[in-house]
Amino acid sequence: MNTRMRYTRLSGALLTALAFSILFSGRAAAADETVVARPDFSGVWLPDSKASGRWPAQRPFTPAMAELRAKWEKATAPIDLTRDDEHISCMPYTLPYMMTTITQYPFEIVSTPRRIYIFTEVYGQVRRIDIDAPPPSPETLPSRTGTSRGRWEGSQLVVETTNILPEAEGSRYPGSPALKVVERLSLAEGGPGGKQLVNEVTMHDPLVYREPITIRMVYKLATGVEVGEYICNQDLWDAHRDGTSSKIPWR
Amino acid sequence: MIAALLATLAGCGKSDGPGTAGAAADGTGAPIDIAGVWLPDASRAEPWPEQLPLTPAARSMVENFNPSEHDPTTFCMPFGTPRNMLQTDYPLEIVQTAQRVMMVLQPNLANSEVRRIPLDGNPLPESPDPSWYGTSRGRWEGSTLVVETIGLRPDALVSGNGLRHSEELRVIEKLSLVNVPERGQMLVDEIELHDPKAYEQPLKTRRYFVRAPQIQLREPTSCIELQWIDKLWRQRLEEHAAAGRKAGKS
Amino acid sequence: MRSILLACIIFATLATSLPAPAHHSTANFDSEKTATVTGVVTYFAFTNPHSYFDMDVVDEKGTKRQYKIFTVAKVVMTRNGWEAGDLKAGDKVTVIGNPDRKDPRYMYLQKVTFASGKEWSRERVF
Repeated sequence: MNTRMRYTRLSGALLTALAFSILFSGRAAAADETVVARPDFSGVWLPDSKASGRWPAQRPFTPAMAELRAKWEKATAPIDLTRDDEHISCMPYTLPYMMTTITQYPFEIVSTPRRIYIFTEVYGQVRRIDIDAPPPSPETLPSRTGTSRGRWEGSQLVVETTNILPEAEGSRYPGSPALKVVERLSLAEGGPGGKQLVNEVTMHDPLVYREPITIRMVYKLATGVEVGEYICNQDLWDAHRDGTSSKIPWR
Repeated sequence: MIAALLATLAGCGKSDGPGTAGAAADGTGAPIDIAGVWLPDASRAEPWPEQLPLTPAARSMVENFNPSEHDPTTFCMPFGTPRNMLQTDYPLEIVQTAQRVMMVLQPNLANSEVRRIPLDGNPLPESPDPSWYGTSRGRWEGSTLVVETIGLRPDALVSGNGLRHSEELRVIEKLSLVNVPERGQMLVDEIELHDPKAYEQPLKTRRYFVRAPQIQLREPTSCIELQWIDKLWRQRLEEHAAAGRKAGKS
Repeated sequence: MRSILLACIIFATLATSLPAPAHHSTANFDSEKTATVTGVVTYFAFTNPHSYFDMDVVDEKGTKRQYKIFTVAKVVMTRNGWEAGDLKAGDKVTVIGNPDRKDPRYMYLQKVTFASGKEWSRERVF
């Protein structure tokens, strides 16, 4: 075929393809799309400390874990918590604690068709929740934010996170490599911004806990709030730059 | 026209990662789709001129540059803008919504770097608080995203070899998609640095990025962990050991 | 060696119903005590992760002493009603705070009345 015909056919094919892509634009990504309205969790959220639950006072440790912790406490007492806490020394959170803190640091949810991002302020972390994606490969390295997979159940987003960096037995909230966090996210009416985000967070960790633990978190819509630039250890740089020492008492 | 259609459809082909369904299909209403993970192409980075048009003050800072003294990244502080767009080691993830564009880097420093670029048409504030990533505004001019950024901390470097800027720096970027022979579609960022206090003329460069949908940005935190161990924990180790000796433990 | 390392890296448990750990622990300040001082600000660092200011306070004997006031992050303050310019060197302010357990002139800010008469309280924040 001559060049002109080839271009005509190519244009036709391209135009058809383009038309199809425009025609199908805006539809939800999942192949088995249902006609349920899926809520949009986008926005900046702050924990509602009054409405949110708390981790139980007595946690159901396995006998082995309870023994390990008793040994550890005996070996390390007394510890000065004003200085010896990894988070106040700027180690970022792991899951689920990233989502269950009630201190007033906001996070931002950004929704795109196949991925939901969560940007936190306090340690500048980024969660990526892939919707309807295949499970992570076994070689996936652990990280503090883990690997998250989401699927819609009606108007609730169910997120499972694995590959979370383990926290040792003596830490405030120990976690083993077996840890799996399941979150059920939904929107509810109410709260100062008119809508609230509800997150039922369940921790499954058979090496640490005899049974799963669930917390129900409520976040309020923080209209007009932006996630700020906040770097936990900036005082060390500022002090170095200015030739002074950090004013933070627990450094 | 064929090239434009090809460019549009180049995005349609990839089905992994967000926002790759083509210009209109991602719902943002944006003329082009730049969402996804991009890798800087160091081989195509336009170098700065050999003789940089620096003011005497800026030149003196470059000449006296000492990385361990003057580079904030040695304290796990961010690259900041524009160094985050000029560096060629780490991937860049662009998140695109109708209201704004976000550019995300996770370069193994204390925090992820998240540039938030609103597209709402509001003017830049007069004198925003200086910050690492700056205060930005973006707008579409045809298929080019024009971004202006001000309010940048002067203790951030422009490059790892000591190029600096003053608090007056204004960064102007023009981002667009281009087709490069033998490479395919690339993202190009034409960057201009306007800073009369530091540069006698604006500094200009072009940086290229290639799509890398197979890359997932990770959260490596060895910088902050090493800093913690080095600056914050070593003393405690000694204190614990001393307390242990005092209590008669071995 | 490994157990010492582990002990030093990993820290104490708190078997209470405390919320998940906050970014910071201000346990060096006695949250059960409050003190009120009025004085003149001599220095203010409005920054992250914590802001702080110094003030000169004259006691009942006429002795001038420096107080150091520690507070939360700038992003948190500005999100909760503290505006740039509310506090600056030279301002006469009244501070209510929790004193440090060892140094009564080192306080964690609870509430401040600015030179303008405006009040700001930490209660809004947590």
